[in-house]
Amino acid sequence: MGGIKMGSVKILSGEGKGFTVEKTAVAHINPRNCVNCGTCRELCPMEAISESQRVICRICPECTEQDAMTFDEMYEFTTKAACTTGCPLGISPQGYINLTRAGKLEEAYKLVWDKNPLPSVCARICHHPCEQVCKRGVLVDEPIAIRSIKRYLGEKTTFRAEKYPRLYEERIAVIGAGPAGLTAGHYLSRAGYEVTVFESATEAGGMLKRGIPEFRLDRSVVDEEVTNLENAGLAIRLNERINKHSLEKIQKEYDAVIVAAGAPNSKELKIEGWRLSGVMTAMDFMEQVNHRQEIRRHPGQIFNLGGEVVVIGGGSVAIDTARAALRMGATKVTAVCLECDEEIPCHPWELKEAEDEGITLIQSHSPTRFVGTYPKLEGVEVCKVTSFSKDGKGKISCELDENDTMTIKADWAIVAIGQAPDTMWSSLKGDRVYFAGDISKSACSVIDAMASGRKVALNVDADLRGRTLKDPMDTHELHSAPLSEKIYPYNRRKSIRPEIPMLAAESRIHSFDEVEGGFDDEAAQMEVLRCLRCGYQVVDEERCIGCGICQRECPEGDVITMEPVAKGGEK
Amino acid sequence: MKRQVVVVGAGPGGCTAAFYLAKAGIDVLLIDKETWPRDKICGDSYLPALYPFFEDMGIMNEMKAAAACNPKALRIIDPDEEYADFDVEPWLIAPRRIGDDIIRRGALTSGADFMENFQAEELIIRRGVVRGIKGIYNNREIEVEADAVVIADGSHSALARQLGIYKEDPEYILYAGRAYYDGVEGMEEGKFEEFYTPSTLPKPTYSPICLTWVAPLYQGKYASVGITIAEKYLRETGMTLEGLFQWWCENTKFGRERMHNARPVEKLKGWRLPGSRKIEKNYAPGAVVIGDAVSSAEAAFEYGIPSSMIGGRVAASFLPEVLSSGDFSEKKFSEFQTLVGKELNPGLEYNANFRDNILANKKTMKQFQLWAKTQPGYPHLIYDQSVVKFITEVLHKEIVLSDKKITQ
Repeated sequence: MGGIKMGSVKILSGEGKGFTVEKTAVAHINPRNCVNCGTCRELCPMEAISESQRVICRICPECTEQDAMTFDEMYEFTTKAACTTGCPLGISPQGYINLTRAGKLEEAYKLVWDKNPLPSVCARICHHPCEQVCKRGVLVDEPIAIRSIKRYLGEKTTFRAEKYPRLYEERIAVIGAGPAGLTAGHYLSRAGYEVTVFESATEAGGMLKRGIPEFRLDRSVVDEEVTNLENAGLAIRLNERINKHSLEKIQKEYDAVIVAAGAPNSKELKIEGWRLSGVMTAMDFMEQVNHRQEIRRHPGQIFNLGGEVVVIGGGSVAIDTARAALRMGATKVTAVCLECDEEIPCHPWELKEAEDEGITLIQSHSPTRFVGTYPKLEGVEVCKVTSFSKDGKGKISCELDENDTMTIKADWAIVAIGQAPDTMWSSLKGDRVYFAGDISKSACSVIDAMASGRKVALNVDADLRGRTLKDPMDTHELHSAPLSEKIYPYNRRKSIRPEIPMLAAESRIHSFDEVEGGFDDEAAQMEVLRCLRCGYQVVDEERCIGCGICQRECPEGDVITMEPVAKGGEK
Repeated sequence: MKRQVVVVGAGPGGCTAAFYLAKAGIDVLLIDKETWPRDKICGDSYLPALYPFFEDMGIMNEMKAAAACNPKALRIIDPDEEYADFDVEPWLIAPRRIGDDIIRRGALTSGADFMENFQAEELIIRRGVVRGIKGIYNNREIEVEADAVVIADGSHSALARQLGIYKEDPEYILYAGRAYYDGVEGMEEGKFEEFYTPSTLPKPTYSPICLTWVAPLYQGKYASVGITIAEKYLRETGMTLEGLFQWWCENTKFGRERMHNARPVEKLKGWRLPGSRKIEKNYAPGAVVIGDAVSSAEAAFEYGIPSSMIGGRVAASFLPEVLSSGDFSEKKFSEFQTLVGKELNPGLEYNANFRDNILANKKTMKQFQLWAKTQPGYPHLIYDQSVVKFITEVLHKEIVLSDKKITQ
């Protein structure tokens, strides 16, 4: 090293005026020990820390299960994506996986919780975009089971959140205690505001409780996370349905209002026969399932267990609905969707789990009418889709072959073609009103809803404090590490990703028990060892002012050292 | 666990070190990440320089019996696809999966302990002295304390990298691929063929090493066919290693002739071959580094096994003295570089000279070819002697032939 010019760092203020700081030390991060959690990068007041990604060698054919590359492709790939940029909430999986490896489970959990107030929920139902970009998965064999490690952390730690600080007098109202609302509340509480969350239902959780079936997410997990948030100081007021009148009151009482009321209303499919009894929407169905209510065709008539069910739609909600119907006693469940193959909107693993349970998905078919003798539904007529396309705005257009139709026998038809927000919010305007989650954009996943809650929280904070929004995720760029840090997959143990325990398909369809299980100690330990540790943080020594914040906040020992700079000369 | 010496890597180099150390009465643990026997991407050549080691280990006959070929002639094909033939001292070609395992078993007869599936990930360093290794065994992280460590973990060495003595020189690091084929045509029994970079390459580049090789195995029933190219030149082609190999098979005169009816017995597998011009720093207090981990061979036209095994033998004579003296200083360990350098530098110098004066330039390459054909006795000239004669008599430069015979 050497050759670091000492002395002073000029700090510029907004108007171009500045002052200089005498620099006495510079931070140095040991790449070998850095777990790449990114804590230092986000805290550095000088933005002097950035992330480097090691080049992963992929020149030799047959070295890994994936295809070899040219040198140019390999170098280009290095900075394209990483687990640290894959999470919409900006969590660093490499960070908590390697803290887990070091036995620091509490620190690992806290690293997640700081950014994600619902770690154990996400550990079960997040569609894990981080795993999609995990370089081990893309370049070597299979991605690290990041979601399962998160679940393991939740199960192994007894995390008690510290009380949120109270720094500011402004009060913030959040409408809706779903993933987006809770996340917004969490970020603003952490920033030092008093936050109150208003929830119309009898319990917090939003779609986590009303929409997602129990066999994917045990309710006690949601309750625990909500309790954690309340213990930290987030006020959640249940049974408070906000109407126009109460909204005006809230707007007066609070300095900002975040509307995260979701999209609770299922869209209807108004084709011939839609009024037949036995046709219902996914949300109505799931809500009744989730509240263990009897399912009625109409008041007074109880769902006849043993019927045949057709679910219309191919998204995650449709698949959840189909699987729930099976568990409610349906003898046969068929889902029908317009799309085919890769275009099918649900995740491939969701479809596989459903198919394992005996559900059939009929692709490229559009329902044309509900067939029956009034008032009873008897079947769904579907027509072959010959071409399907979706524009950038999500508008679907498709062509049908009207000569190619069939009728699927159905006692029930459940329509899962999307949801819409309550119309009352569309007219809402005013200063300091923000929208987060499903209400702000259609059809988003849990993690996307949470990310939107986070973004809104940052915006609210910036607006209230009169400062420009500074989001560490916007400045998070990947740089290429020097060749001396190159990773040779050959050098990393070939080891098989442990199988995630699952209930057998034959037995799980008879209960609402969680299908997916968690890793035991042995599997988790094996799995964390598979991490390639692609990234690490690097200090720009020119910009560093030697304040030492990074060293103080680093969750790992032996990573950051403050190296003295001699006066007027060399380090 | 505590041992006197841990040897990391059970390739020929590590095995040689473990063999002679155990023979000298040292408590040795030899570890390897692989499950043995294991394959290695290589030209599969065991040169005559290794025979004394095989004799010591008592495996000479077994190695001979395992040989799939005994090449005694070499054909050099220049960028214009014209060739010259030479004689060489016969050597053994045996699949590394078989040959290296014979060496490993031979080495263990001296009493060294062996653990496979043990991946050494990190050196334990205390007060600047290497005191053992950390690794993963049976899905657990474990530590082995040791008075000294022999680092022989090969081309991708994680441990040499930790010590900062690992090389990434794009001019000298080669990427190689090898596949076994049947149905290769036009080969001659006992003749090893080296094809230099053809001028017809789509993005012309010239690499001063042979681009492909073909070696007949088992009386020509099978062939080992491979590709080697330095990182720098491979990058210039813009092709993948496999793409370049395929191009050679389909677009060169010899490639088509040899390969048009060939069927792969095993897919092309790749490997990184390190190389250097002389022995550089190969130690740290408490540790010595041998073989590919410290780029001790000139990978372009020399085989790595002799350099590794010679390094292993030097390590085994050096460490007992260190252990009994208790001197773990930088200065003491620097003697190891001198000792290995004395053994290997003459060969490396010869190779560097050959590379610079003949192979680095298409023209001299051609000139050498044409000149050889005019010499009395052609096509039975001895290869290395011809190189020396050409460089001194035609190019009027100096070259010394090493007596170590670590090259063809």
